[in-house]
Amino acid sequence: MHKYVIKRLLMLIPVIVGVSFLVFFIMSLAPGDTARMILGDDAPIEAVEALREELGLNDPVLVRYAHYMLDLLHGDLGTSYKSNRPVFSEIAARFPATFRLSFWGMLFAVALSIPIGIISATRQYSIADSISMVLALLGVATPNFWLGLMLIIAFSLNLRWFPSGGAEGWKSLVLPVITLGTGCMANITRTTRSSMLEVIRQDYIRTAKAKGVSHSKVINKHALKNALIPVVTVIGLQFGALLGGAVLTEAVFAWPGLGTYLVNSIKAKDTPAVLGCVIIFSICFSIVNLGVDLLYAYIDPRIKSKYK
Amino acid sequence: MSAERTKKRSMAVEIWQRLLRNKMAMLGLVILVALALSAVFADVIADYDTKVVAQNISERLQGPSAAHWFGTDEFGRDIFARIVHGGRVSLVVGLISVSVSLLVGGSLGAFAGFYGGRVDNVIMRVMDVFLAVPSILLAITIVAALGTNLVNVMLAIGVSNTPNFARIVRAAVMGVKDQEFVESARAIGTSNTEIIFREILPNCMAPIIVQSTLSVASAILSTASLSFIGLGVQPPDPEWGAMLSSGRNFLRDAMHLTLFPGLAIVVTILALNLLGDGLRDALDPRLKQ
Amino acid sequence: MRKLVSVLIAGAMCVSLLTACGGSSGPSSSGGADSGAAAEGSGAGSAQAVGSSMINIGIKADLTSLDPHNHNDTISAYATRHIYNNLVKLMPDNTFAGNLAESWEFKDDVTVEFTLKEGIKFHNGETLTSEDVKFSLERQKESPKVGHLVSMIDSVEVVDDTHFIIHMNTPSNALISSLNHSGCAIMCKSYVEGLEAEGKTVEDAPMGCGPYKFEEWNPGASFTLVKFDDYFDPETAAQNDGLVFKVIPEESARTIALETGELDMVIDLNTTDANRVRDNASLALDECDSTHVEYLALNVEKAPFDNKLVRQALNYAVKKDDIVIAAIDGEGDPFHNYIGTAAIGYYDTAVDYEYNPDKAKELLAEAGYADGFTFNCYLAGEIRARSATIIQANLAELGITMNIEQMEASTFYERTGKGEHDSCIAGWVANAEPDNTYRPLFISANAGAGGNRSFYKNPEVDKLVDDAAVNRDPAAVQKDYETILQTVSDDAIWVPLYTKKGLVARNKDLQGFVISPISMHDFYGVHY
Repeated sequence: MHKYVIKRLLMLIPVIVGVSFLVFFIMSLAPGDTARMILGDDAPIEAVEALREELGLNDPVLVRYAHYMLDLLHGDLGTSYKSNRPVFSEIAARFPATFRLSFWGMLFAVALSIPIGIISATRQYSIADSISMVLALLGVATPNFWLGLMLIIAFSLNLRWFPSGGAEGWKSLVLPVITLGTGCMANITRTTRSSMLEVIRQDYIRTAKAKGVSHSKVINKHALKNALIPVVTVIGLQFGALLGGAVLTEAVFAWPGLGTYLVNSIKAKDTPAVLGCVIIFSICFSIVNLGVDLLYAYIDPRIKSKYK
Repeated sequence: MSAERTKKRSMAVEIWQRLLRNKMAMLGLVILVALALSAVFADVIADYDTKVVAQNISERLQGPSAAHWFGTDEFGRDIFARIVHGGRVSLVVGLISVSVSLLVGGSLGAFAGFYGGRVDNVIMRVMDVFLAVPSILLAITIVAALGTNLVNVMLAIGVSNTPNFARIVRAAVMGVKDQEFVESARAIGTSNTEIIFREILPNCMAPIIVQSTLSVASAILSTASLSFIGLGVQPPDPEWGAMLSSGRNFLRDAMHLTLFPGLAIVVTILALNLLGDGLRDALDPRLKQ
Repeated sequence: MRKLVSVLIAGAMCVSLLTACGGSSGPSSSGGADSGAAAEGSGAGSAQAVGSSMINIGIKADLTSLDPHNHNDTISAYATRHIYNNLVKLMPDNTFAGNLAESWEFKDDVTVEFTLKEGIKFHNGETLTSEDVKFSLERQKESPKVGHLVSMIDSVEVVDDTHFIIHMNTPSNALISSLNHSGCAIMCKSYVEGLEAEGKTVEDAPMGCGPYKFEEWNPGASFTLVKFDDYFDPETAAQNDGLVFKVIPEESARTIALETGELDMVIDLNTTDANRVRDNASLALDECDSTHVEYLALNVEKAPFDNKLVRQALNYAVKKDDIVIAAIDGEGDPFHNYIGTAAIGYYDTAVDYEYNPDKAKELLAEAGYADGFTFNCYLAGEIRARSATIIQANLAELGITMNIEQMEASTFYERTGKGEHDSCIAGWVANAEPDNTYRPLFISANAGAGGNRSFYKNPEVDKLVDDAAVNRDPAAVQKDYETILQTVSDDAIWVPLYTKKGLVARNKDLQGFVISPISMHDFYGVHY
């Protein structure tokens, strides 16, 4: 098992190299005038040219990539074109906020959606099941900006219970967490429900029931554990996506996270900043996915035997 | 040979008959057919030039009325007509892009889950790489490299969702591949590919169906952000995602701008969900009477 | 000391948060006039809040840099223009007055003698001298971001502590207005050299002689400035305890934060919310004419826009009234000129083509395009897409098909710079120097990436722009600009669309704010 974890962590290296290579070339392929974006409309052409030269944008792509990878080897994520500051410190300033929001958003979603999913499955086609389905579908089809603004109008503007934005104190966390969580809930609830249904029908559950094991014990002990694999997968995927930044939620709640930073950097064609974010994300995703894979092993010992 | 074909046909008939007995699934099917018909006959329901793109600034942002069932947008255009016509794009983009990621991601995930070991490692690490590339960046690149048509929209959305499907199918396959029916198929000499697609996948449809139906909603929503970077639908053509997102500024004054396209998406995925659930039941080998 | 101040600020924020949650009607501030109510609603934070008046200002994006030589954007300038001072400042009547400079005098076309005010203190207690000015301007010349503003400066000669001479390498009318730009902030030589010797940057601890000291910056969230007590000029000294700029990207959320009292002011109010603010008894809306022009640039190198008649026809065909409503909710005016009314360098000599589709049809027929044609229109951003949608419908009535192509701003710059477009929608906000508007927009050398997206090449206009830049006779300069406006509008290289109002929303009890047409707002006078 330890070996497996170490092996997977070592696999981070090719993933990072792959991601940085891909994104670097994507960024150099995509049209966009970085220097002009930084200097604005009114700077003369000579100033734009000079900045382009200073940023090294006139060098061939491969040369720039080589420079970048050399710096990366030394643990240096480079300097943002736009702000002229180290990318690492820019990301470090924003990552904690992103993590906080994703973590609580995910916790909120999981805490609510797994029980709801189980109830829906055990009472398939009941009213509770139908209501939970409609709510889940509303949740997934509602854009975050819409739900976020509605919550702000209701709870900040009218009731004055929570601040409308910012990231100071637990109160500021409530509305963005609900907004983010609702989007994730739909997926987890539905997956829990359908996996539960799948498992409930399997022979060994029927056998257990026939043997007279109590209903709730069957559900909690036998059914749930086996239904967990797809659920854990979905949670992992959603958590990964949240760590990559929840751009719309961040914008609505003025949450100083990485999503906004990444999108602004992509727009400005700030290659070092984009690469920095993407590398951090790939590490996050890889770790989350490794965690998910380890959970599989914990849930299903047959899978465990394959991790060597 | 002909016996085999007859057997296959009778199986399809059986599945269809089971589906027919499921009322909720039938409701879903009816809604989907209605949506599809309204998209196909959009021009009959509302004329494009006089209803969908015709502006009337003096009637902008009006709420629902007899003349405009769903109200008017910021240009005074009829929202009902725009939703009917928008379905042409949104339904196609939603369904096809999800099919693309399901096919590609699903197959990769199935192989990774089935074979495990090195195959798994290579496929899933490549998926990790794609997971880390922001979808907007991917879309910008596709515009730059391939142009801005609708096919590329589906490609952009499809590719960015592929790793998700790979992970979900892989997990599902890992969960069932050691069960007895797989062993017995292997024992009678069935090929690996056949085992994956004939034996394993039909037995792990549940999470796949959930993921697919829900992804249609997010695919439709993301077409809006793509049209801002020039990929896909451009003004004045209607499309649900873009209608939702352009209503964002008017949320407090004219909520119907976002409400109706939002409901259109909800109804679509509701129908898909109902049908998907029914289909899963109908396909479930364990439920054969 | 810094700790204490941040405790004070935290206390103030805490109070504003608590009052905001306390169900009080109408916006309440974190102190000042409302401090009584605030003290009642809170508890712990109230003691600090009394007498503290931090002004919370909502902005749409974060700053990029606290080093005045490392940015060229409005939002960063909100910070640097309050931390640093310039030699001169722009007055509301569009003239320039001394700021750090007591006076200046043109000795000849390329030599200007400056006198500094005596005894001006930096935030660290050091006294401003000519050496600091020389250091700052020379450091600026090295900057790729704002160096071009002082490219006319050849050298700075220090005479004594308060006297220096700027030698220019070419005659220029832009020197004084440039010195008012945020990039020409005056920094403290010994301090900056000390910082850099320690391996730090100006960003880490910006320090100048402005009315505010830098307090903190939370990237992506907010930045805070606090009052500098030893500020030299009572007239422009801070009348509040400090400024907290809060980044709220979502337009509606920014307005809501003002309504709940979390903010005292919102800069660049969303046009959709203007009436909401007007209707709210506890809020006020400051409006001004701006120097902004929104326009459809026609690429004169592409057929059929190489034909002046077609370009003029488009000017007659577009219903600007509808655009003002659909794009900016009526918070501006239809416009026919090529530079905003509030700008220095605005003259009313542009040809006004009034909406007249019949006339447009006639011109098109005359040009041989009676059956219309098809062209593309590049643009970036939602508001421009709305303008384009109206234009598209207007032109469709004449049988002309306009294909809208939206793209990212950086893509837009690159592709229009290369001249791939038939037309594009762009906007321009003139600053205090007319040459910074006329030169990029209209001269041949700037065709494409330089800003002249019509690819208009007229040697006549080039000559006039060059003359206006250096001619010391104001009447001649005016004549130059009047002729340019007349020429380009007659050539109809654009379809000017509208000019948007400057909109700043604030608590109605907040006083002393003067809105700036070029978004160079000063916040030192703001108080309850």
